[in-house]
Amino acid sequence: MTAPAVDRAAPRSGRWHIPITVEQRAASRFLQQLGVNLVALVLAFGLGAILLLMAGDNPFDVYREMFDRAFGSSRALRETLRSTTPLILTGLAVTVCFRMGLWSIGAEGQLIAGSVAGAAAALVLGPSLPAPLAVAAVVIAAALGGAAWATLASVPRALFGTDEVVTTLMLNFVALGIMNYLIYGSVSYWRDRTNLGFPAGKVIPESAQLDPYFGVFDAGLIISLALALIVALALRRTVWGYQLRVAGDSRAAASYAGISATRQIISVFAVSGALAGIAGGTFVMSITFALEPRAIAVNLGFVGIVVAAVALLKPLLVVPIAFLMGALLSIAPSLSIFGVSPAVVIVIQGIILLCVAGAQFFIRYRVRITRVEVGSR
Amino acid sequence: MNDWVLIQSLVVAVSTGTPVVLAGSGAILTQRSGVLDLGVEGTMLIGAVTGFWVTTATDSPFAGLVVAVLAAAVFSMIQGVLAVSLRANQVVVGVALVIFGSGLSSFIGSQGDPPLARRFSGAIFTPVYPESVHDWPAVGPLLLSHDPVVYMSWAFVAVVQWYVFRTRTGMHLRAVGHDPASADAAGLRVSGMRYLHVALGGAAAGAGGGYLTLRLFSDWFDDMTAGMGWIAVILVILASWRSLRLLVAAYAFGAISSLGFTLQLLGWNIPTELLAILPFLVVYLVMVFVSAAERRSQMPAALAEPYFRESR
Repeated sequence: MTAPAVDRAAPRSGRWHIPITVEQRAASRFLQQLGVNLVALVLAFGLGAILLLMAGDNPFDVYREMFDRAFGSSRALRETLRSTTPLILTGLAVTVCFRMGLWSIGAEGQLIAGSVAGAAAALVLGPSLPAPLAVAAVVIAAALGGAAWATLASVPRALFGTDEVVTTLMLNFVALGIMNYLIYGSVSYWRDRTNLGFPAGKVIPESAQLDPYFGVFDAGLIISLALALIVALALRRTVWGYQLRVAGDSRAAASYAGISATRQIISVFAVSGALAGIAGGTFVMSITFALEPRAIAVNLGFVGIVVAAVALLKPLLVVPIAFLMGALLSIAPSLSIFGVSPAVVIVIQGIILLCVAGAQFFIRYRVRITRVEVGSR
Repeated sequence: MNDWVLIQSLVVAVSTGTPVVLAGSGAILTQRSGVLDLGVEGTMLIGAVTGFWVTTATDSPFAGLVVAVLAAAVFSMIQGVLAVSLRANQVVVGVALVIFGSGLSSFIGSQGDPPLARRFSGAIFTPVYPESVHDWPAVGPLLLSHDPVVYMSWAFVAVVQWYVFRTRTGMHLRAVGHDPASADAAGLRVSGMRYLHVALGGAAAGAGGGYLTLRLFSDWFDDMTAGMGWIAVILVILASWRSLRLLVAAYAFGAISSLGFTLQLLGWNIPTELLAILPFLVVYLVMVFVSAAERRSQMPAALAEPYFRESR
């Protein structure tokens, strides 16, 4: 560790002097990081309240109503947990890539690829398999679909250094277009052929539909929690995870240590894509029960970035943050019932991510007001 | 393909590409200063909705465009504060701005009675020259049939090219984006230059968004940019941060996006869902191809890297 650098906003021209000193922190404690992020979360809801006030709504009433609709009844809790599952998985997908410094924003497209593959597996294998095997088949197919879609970005990145931000973004739109084509633009295997007038996905067999236990949570949540644990252990306890963290800290250090960047990039992207793909698979099994483009393309991949960033790229923290974001997401449709635009939810998510991104500054740097001695220059 | 179809297709390609020309030229200024503003998509939406709002209230598309530009410039200051002063991760901030801009524009669009999303503006930009001129062979439709914003976008492209490569401030801009530490040592205000060019980029993105509601669609609906902002950011990379090349790339994008129109003129029928994929697929393939063939990148060396004076 080098000595903390100091950036004194020193006067350049002598016209003014800002009495603030910014120092780089040598190391930051985990609890401190968490505290800063929690403050950012509160700030985001505060800013959301100001927006509601400006639109003529009472923010306290709106927030109390939102809380009720997210946690107030077992039915509300079930909806919240249903939305939590895909966000845990996309949050993990983003975490894995970002930890290595791969700025993939492709979880959205990989989720779509996963739901297309998962729905196909459910429709083909579902009728002939008992429930647990059908669910397993969907999960495996979805993981493969998501991983394959991620490979379209990882191979150019590994071989030619093609910017992954660009490729993953474009592939999101391509995946969305393909899914729309399968249902709205053609009479594909995924489309319900009994009612051709109204384009809709074919409903998957019951063996692949997830029933909630105790009326509250389904197997998808258990799968996502298990994967959070596995990702946490893999990052901490395996050679793969160790090498990923080394490369995330310093790409140069990793290459001096003989870690193959090519293989690493492709494997990390594949894991990330598989996680996002499973999110699509469980979404089909637990919420839409068919390949329904309008219900599936609801920015779960992008919200995964919010989740991962707020969770400080820690797999286990992804779970509670995904729960919070899942609550927000599940109440969005019902907001319009009492006269508030559902867009408020998106606004709050955006502000949360902005606040958290900005708050990292206060984790990395210490800001102090310094006494100015007049005439000391 | 006969000449008439070709010319009509080019005219549509120009109007479809114009939002990307405007937003992309602005993004060149921002990225040249070393800030990667991925939030263009969100900024365009803010410009689109505020421009539409003011136009429905005043019946003047010019007033709408001015407000779109100002609102977007203010909106982009979020990027300025976070990326320049707070040194935040610019990829995360960009995604956050897209989410926030999408939500905020949709929220604004749901306000009013009737809500903006259910209004029809009526007042939109119209061609500058009279109808009779449009029928002149070739030059009529291609050069003289456009609305004022298209001509403004051409002027803007020329000004950006001249400013970046032919003026002293432009040279300073490139220095700040390439090697902020040396620029700082030479007495340039790195943060000030970056704030200014983030605002200029935001303003241009706002004009691009305004063009969507005040001409292209003459209407407001949620997430109407449909990826155009992302495309603008990426075409800047493909155009090697040069506005004349960006103009060509943006019109190529316009041509590919409006291919459905051309094919319809020719009597072909291809599902719109497949055509919608095409521009994104092409940009993906071109990006991969270019990076595979590229020897030396012209990227501003300090792009997306926050500058911290003492850590140089």
